[in-house]
Order: sequence, then C-alpha cells, then structure tokens
Amino acid sequence: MTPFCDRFAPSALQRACIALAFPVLFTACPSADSVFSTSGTITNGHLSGASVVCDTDKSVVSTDANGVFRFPLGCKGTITASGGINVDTGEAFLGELRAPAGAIAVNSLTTMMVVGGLTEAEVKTSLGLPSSVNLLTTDPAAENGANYSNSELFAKAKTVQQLFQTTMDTLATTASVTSADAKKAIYATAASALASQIKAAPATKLITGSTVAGSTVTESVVTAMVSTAVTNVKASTNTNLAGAKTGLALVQPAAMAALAGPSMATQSQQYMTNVPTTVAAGQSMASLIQKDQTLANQVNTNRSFLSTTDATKVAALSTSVQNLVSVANNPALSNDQRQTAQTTALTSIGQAQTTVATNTGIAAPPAPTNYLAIGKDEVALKSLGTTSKITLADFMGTGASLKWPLVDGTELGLSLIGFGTPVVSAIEVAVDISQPSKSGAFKAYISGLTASMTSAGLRIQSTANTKMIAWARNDAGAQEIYADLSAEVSSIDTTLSSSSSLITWLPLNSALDRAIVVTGDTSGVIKKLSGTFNVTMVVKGLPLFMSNQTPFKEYTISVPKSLTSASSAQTLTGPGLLGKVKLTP
Amino acid sequence: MRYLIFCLWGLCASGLAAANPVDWHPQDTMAPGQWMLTGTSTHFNTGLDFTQGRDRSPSLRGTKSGDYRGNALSLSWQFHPRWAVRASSLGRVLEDVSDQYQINTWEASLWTQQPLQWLGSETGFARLSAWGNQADSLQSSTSKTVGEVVLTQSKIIQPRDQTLALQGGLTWSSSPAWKYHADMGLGWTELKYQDFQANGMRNGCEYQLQIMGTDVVGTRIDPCTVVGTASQFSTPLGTYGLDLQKELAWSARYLAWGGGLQWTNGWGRWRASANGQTWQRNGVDDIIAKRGGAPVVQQLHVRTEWMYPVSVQIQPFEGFDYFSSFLLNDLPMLYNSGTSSNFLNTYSQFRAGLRIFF
Repeated sequence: MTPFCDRFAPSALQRACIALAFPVLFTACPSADSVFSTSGTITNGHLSGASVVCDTDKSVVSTDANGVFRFPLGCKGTITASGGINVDTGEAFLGELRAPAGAIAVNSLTTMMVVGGLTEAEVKTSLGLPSSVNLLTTDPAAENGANYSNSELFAKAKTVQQLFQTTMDTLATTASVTSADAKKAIYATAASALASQIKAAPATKLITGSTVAGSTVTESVVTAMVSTAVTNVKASTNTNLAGAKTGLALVQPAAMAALAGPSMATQSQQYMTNVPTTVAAGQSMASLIQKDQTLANQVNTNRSFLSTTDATKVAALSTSVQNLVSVANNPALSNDQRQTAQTTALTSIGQAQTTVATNTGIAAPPAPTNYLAIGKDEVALKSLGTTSKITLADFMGTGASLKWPLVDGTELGLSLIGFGTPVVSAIEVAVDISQPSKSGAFKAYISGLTASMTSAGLRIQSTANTKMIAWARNDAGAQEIYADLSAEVSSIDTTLSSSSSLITWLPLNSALDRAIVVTGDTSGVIKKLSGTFNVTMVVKGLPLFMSNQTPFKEYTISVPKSLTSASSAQTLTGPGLLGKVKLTP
Repeated sequence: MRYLIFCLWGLCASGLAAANPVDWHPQDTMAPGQWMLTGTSTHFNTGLDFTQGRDRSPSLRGTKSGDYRGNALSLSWQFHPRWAVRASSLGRVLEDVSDQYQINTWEASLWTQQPLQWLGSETGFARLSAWGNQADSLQSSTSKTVGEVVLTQSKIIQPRDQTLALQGGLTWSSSPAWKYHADMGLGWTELKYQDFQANGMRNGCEYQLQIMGTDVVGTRIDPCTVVGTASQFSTPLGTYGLDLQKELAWSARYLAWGGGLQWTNGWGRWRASANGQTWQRNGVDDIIAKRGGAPVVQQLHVRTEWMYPVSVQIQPFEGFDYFSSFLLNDLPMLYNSGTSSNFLNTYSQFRAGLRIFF
C-alpha cells in the first residue's frame, strides 16, 4: 500500500508548477491594506465630511462626498459618527449615529443596536424587514444606477431616522436650546428611547404592513418613544442636557407624547406611503421632510398646554396638528393643494386650542402675529411674457428649475405679506451657493441695510454704512475675495409689496449682469453654468415665517474674509432657507 | 618644518579646482600638529571680467549682475601626519541687475594623503567635505516670467543649500619642480527655503503673493483704481504649472573629475587646474526644459594661482578662476527655474590671499 504522503507528494513537474504559480498567487492575494482596513458608509442620507470614530482606539477619519469612511488599520469596535453634511438635503447633521463592532453600515438602524442593545433580528422584526437583509453591511441608501438598491430598506431606515430627528427638533425647540451638543444628546436620547420600546415590547412592531407603501408606523410605539425621551432628558445627568431640562421643566412627558407622537408617526410614514424608488425622489422627499419645522413650531407654540397631567386633554389639538404636519410633509400635494389644506388645518388648530384651554384650564396661546411671509410660499418668474412659479417646497425639496442663462428682462416677483405689525429695523443678508461634488462656490454678505414697514410694504434701503463682501471659488480651486463691494449696494431702495394681490417685480437678469461685471467674469463662465446648486439664504432682522406660521429655520453662513487666515470670516446666523436650484440650458 | 619647506618650494601637488567654495591642494599638508590660517578675498566686476560672459546676455549687458565680493577665512590643522581637517567661513556679496545678495557660507573638510604607487603615482588622496550657503533672503526686483506668471518682484526667504562631497585622486611628479594630480568625486546637494514671496500683476492691479501649501495667495496692494478687482485671490500652484518645492528646493547629485599641475621656480609657485562636473537634479531641470529653457548640467572650472613665499610662515597668493557656467556648484541655491538662464554665461573671478602657518 502506498503511504499517504507518497501518494500526495508532488512530482518534479508539479513542484515546478507550484513554484511558478506562487508569484501569481501572491499577485492575486489582497493587499495588506485591503486586509486590515475597514471601509463603510455613514447614512442619514449619505453624510459628507462626517467625523467617524473607532471607539476602541479612538482613531478618527472623515467621510468622503459619498459618505464613505475608511480606517486604514481597521476598526475592531463600535463606530460613532457625527457632523458632516447630508448630501440629500444640504443640511448639517446634528445627531449621532452608531454601529456595532464589525458593522460597515452606520445608520439609524445600527444606532438602535448599540444604544438600545437590540439585536439585528429584533430590528428587522420590528420594521418588517426580510431576514435576508444584513443590516450590518447594507447601506440603506446604496444606489443602483438612478434607483435605490433596496428601496424598502431605504424607506424604513428613513422612517426611523426621521423619528430621531423630529424628536430632537421638537424637544430642542420647545426647550429653547440651540447648542449643537444639546441637540446631539437629545438625538441620542431619542434613539435610545425608541430602541428601548422595541426591546420592551417586541410584539408591538414599529412598522406593520405587507407592502412598503401599505405599511403603517405604529403610533403607540412612537408616542411611547416620545414620552420616554422626554422623561429621560428630564432625568439625565448629562451636562449637555442641562438647558433642555430647564426648558422642559413644566412639560409632562405624556402630554408631549400625546401632542407630538401622532404627528411624528404621520410625518415619518411619508417615506413609506410615498416610497421613493429613485434616488432623485428620495433626495427630494428627504429635503422636504427633514427641513420641516412645522411640528416643532406647533408643539413650541402650544407648550403651555404640555404642563397638563392628563394627556387625553390635548388629544383634540393633537389631531389638528397632525393634519397640518401631514399637509406640510406630503410630497404628493401641489403647492396650491397644500395652501388650501393648511388653511383648513390652521383653522382647526385654532378651534382645538380653545377646546384644550377649556379642558385644561390653561390659557390658549395667542396666534402667531407680527411676522412676514412670502405670499403662498411661492415666487414668480417672468420672462418673454410668460410667468412661472417657484414654490418654497420645490426650492427646498426637488429643487427650483431655471432655464439658464436668464433671458433678457427676466424678473422675479414676490409679495411679502405682513401679519400684525412686524418689527423690522436693520437687516443683514448672506447667501451661499455651491455645487455638490464640485469645488465651485460663492458666498456674499451685506450689512447696513435698513428696513421699515410702509403702507406699500416692506421698504429696504441702503445707508452710508451699507457694505458688501463676497467670496468665490471655481471648480479648479482658485478663490477670490472681494472685501469691499459697497459701491454695488450703495443705492438700494426697494419696496416689497405686502399685498397678497400685488407682486413686486425685481429685475433678476439685470442683477445677474451686474454680478458678472463685478466678478470680472469676462469669459462668460457664469452664464455657461449648468447643473444643481445648493443655495442658502439668511436674512437677519426680518421676522420671516412660512405661510403655515412656522418660522424660517435658522442657518449660518460664514463668508471668508481672508485667504491667509481661516478663522477670519464674516458669520451670519438667522432665519433662512436652504434649497436647490437646477440650471438647465 | 622640513616638510613644510619642502612643500613650499615645489614638492606640493598643484592646486585642485573643485566644486568646494574654498580652495584646497592635494598636498597642502603641513607638519604634524601644525595649523594654517588662510585669508582669501575674491572679486568680480567689469574690470576683472576677462571672459565678457555677462556682455553676451542682452538682459545683463552693462549691468552689475554677477559682481562679486567675497572674503573667506579658513583654519586648517594637520592633526596626524596623514590626516588634516579644516573649517571655513565665507561672507559674500553678489549683485543682481538691481539687487544685492548677502550670502554666508560655511565649510568643513577632512582629508588624508597616503603613499600610493599606482599608475606611477606617489600618493593617493581623499577628501570628505561639506559646505553650505545661506542668506536671509534672495530678492529679485527684475521682472521674471515663471510659467504663466509675471512676477514684478520675488523674494526667497531664508534660502540655504548643503552639499556633501567625496573626492579621491592621485599625485605624480616628474621633477622636484613639476607636480601633477588627477581626481574624481561625487557630490550630493540639497536646497531648502523657508518661504517664497513675490509681487505680481493681475487684472491691472499689483498683488503681494505668498505661497500657502499648494496655493499661491495674492493680496492686492492698494491703491488700485481698477474697479471690481478682488482684494485677495488664491490659485493652486498647479494652475500655473508651478511646483515651487521642485523649482526652488531641489536636490541633486553630481560627478566631478579634474586634474592639475604645479610648477615651482625662483619666481614662486604656479598652479593651474581644471575641474569638470556633470549634474543630475531632481525635478527642476525637467521643469526648465518643459518651459523651453536649457538646464545647465555641465560646468568647467579652471583655476590658476601664483604664490610667492614672503617667509616660511607667510605665503601671499593671487589667481583667477574661470567658470563655464557662473557659480553652478559654488552657490547652488542661486540655481532655480527662474535663474537657470543666468548660469549659461561664462564667469571669472580674481582672487588674492595670504596663508599663515603656525
């Protein structure tokens, strides 16, 4: 019998083949780098420029423009991500995402596994996700061409993420806290609260339904989450939550949950009812919903009711607010439909406030007044005798489309409706325009303007102190700073009509032509631009509201004043709008 | 002492023209334990310019560019019959068309001379030397075009170079009056600078330019009456095809070879030597060539000297140097993408000095 070793000992020819094959095998082997490194994706919408920490060794890396991070030496522990810009919405991410050890997908679902101790199976069961999906490795926003690779996972991850964010927005606004650390702590508390609800009552699923579009967010789970979150914030020893604790001192968790919970469920469910399959639709929906502050504003407006110990007494108001939130967040509505429905909802809220005041014995809050709102949340664009509309919902969501370059004589029309007696005085304005995934960007800041309400409307004038600075960067990375463009803004005197029936027309193309002259764009680069641009505008000094009585969200624009000192910048924080403009030839 | 006298009257090898900014002679050996102090003053100006190299360049003709005043002090010590060391310090002033460069130079050498009978030689010698030049700044007020940028003024802040050289050779003699030598060597040079500043014209305004990382940042010099000009701009250096690190802070290696002769008679000691070098620089020469320039990679340096001993201890000397391409190796930090064309000109220097033995 041939010994085993002899039978399998290689012949001389075989040995030669092995020897020749080895170099080939070596080249086929993965590099040491790919073996040791850990790469993954941060998703809340992909986060660009987010800070990603490997919790075991505290190494920190940043995400690229697609939310991808890479630890060159790998990461053996949990991952924590914060900061960065949501590439879908253009907004700064204020929360914190976590993922268990071994995960390369970091998102709202993996966050619950870490902060709430949920298993992957528990998350999938509660959300009705198929067991075949690996949550630790699957990016919910992964793309397959123009579509999402897994639209069900995207929709459900967005649903959970929206619950965290709206809880953060609502509690922070109600508690009047603005610090980033406080908001991050509230976000983490919300994530923990939802995870704990799922853990405690696994039989009550967060999302039920056999199809994605037919799924329902379980209101009781959301309500319990809000109640737990408020309770935990009020009991927290986290110093970052000190301000929130003070602000929520009189708020009863159950009352907050009863008022906000149904609206949150309705809002987040939009991702399933209108399940986006294309990336463009997902980005548009995220932009509309994630920026919306309707619920946070309504809860804040009615916070005096939240001191009631009987949560059932705010139920009537809860339903009315839910209607308003639903209208504001429904991407399927046209702007006209939204305006009509929100008028009905606001009337209903007024009536409900009276009912709740009677039920609780707490005086109803006064209706918002003394503010300015852009008529019907839309502006008009007139060129060659035809007029088209650009709605704020389009601007903040899908993106406002503009044929570019503008036709000669193009005008922008709007009315700025005053409610009550808006207090206006000095105005500062800043604008930030950038193109995603490209370097080109423009920022400008104007100060020293005065404003006054006249019988004709809002009058804005230059003063002797009116100044303008601007910064621009082209796609090649070259930058310019214009430290004194005061001459360009020294003769402003414009009155914006405050009548809903009278539109003020501004010569948009003339302004553009002047801007081209100022920036020395002799080669016509500006007029050849195309693509989608993120646009942020901040106007400090004007009480600007949406037509549904929600104050404009606050944004910060920082205009560089020096190219040799990164810390030298003119920063303006105030109410503003963040949206997209699509320039098409 | 006997060896010294022996050397003084003709048994030393001829002087060695070399890349080293301080002259050295293969058999300038002293008695063991003896010191030598050498003071040298070197000059170049219109009256001393026997090559007329400057006049062949239209942009330099009639200017002071290249005018030179240098004073050197060297202290040598024969610490062993066959080994010696030297340390030197030089202060030099070099004129450009409208600017003046103040350059400080240091030098240190270790050399040995050993009996060696090979190819008929008497001795073999080897020298390891290092030297460096530095200046507070090198400023040019002459308008220069670098790539696509027109610089009205430019200033290299704290430029410096360092060179390490290893040479070896043989000496022969055909009679007590005639000595010869041949040598070869290798050298490594590295340039550094702290900052680069310049003024340039853009859209009709003058800007002060700074290099910040990979960008050039311009700050407008007011007043500028042109409407709508940027108060500050930055542009990636690559946009202009600039790579300052390679252009101003290059590194290089070179191969050197040479030979010389020495004749001693009743009129003193006469020396003549020649040294050739071939350079290989990293980066900068490719950039110069890409811009249509001619990198300077070869140099011939011819050195002559006449010395008449006043006494055993005191030896005054004088001589001329001829460079086929400016001070290519003597002052490497002057060579960059903007100045390389200046090195195409021939150059000469007059030198006089005194050696004191003690």
